[in-house]
Amino acid sequence: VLRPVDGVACAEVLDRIEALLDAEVDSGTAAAIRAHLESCAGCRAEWQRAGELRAALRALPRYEAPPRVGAALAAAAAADGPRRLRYGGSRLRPVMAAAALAAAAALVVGLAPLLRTPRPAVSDLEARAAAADARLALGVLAAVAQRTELRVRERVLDGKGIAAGLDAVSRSFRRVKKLPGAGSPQARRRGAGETIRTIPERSS
Amino acid sequence: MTKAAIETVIAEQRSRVFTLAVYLLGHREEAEDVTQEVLIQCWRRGDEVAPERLAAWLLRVTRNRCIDRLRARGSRLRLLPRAASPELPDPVDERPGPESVASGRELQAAILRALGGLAEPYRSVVILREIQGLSYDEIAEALEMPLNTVRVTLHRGRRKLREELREEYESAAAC
Repeated sequence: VLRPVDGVACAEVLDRIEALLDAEVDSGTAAAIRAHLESCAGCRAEWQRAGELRAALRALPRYEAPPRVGAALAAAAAADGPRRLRYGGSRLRPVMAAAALAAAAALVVGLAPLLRTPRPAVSDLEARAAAADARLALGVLAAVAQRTELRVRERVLDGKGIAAGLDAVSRSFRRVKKLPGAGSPQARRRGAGETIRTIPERSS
Repeated sequence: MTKAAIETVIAEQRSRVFTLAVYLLGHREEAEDVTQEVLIQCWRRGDEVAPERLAAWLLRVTRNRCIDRLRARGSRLRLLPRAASPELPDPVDERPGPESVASGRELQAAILRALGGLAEPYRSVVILREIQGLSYDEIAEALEMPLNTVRVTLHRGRRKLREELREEYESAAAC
């Protein structure tokens, strides 16, 4: 029997507040607790705090899994077998998408200087040198794109995700700027008279 | 269990997995990593689990992986630093709650900090019950706990949170 405003009764009430919140006490006990709460301001305040806390917890947001998780999952599924995984209502082919993105980004980044800089054809020799530059740049970019595709594929299949694959793309671009010979006088002379082949054989 | 059935479970449970990881780890990037690992594991090994238990299995594996990461952090399972707000993603939904409670960002931040200070298994049980809305039976299956243990753990967890928040309010009032 609960006695209002009594130390022992208060302890009993406080011990059962959570159960009362979850409607897990029988009706007789619930009525006794509620009667105690009406007459005991301390327990009533605690009861209110418990209710507010539960409401606040239930108001906390839930989160949607981000797209990169779905892409990595689809890549894993693709690596495991021919059947493609549906994720978020669409069929994804992340390796191909990453490779295409890498190639497109390589073209945009690599060709941007060529597109920005006007190159008047002052003489036939300079025109041929410019063409050699362009062939060299395209060859290097093709090789980088091919290596990047393989790197992206490895990263994605390793479960590191598209973000890691795109990091590899970014690193590849930085390396392009450091490649020796690109735009050098030797390359220009070589390019003016011969075909430059920079695309390595694809290893199977 | 067929791959199609596994796909269905993944589609239904992926947000629940991610939300659990977010609240357990308090860090968006790590939660994404764990979610990715768990879902890939589910895709590859889900057929070894009984279909009716796969959803609970996903939550259990998620929790275990989060605990592993926290141990690797050396954080003694302390999830969120009390002084800082957790790095959480934007919510998928803003569920409305009672005005006096849900409208207070300060209270929400305080609750997150208090949740971060809660020990296991109280934290997991509170997250699964109050934030994720799982039933006691579902929690019992996910955490492999007796039903009564779930009930007692939840009640104690909420009480600990309440005490933690009271301390925080009292210290704030004293400043």
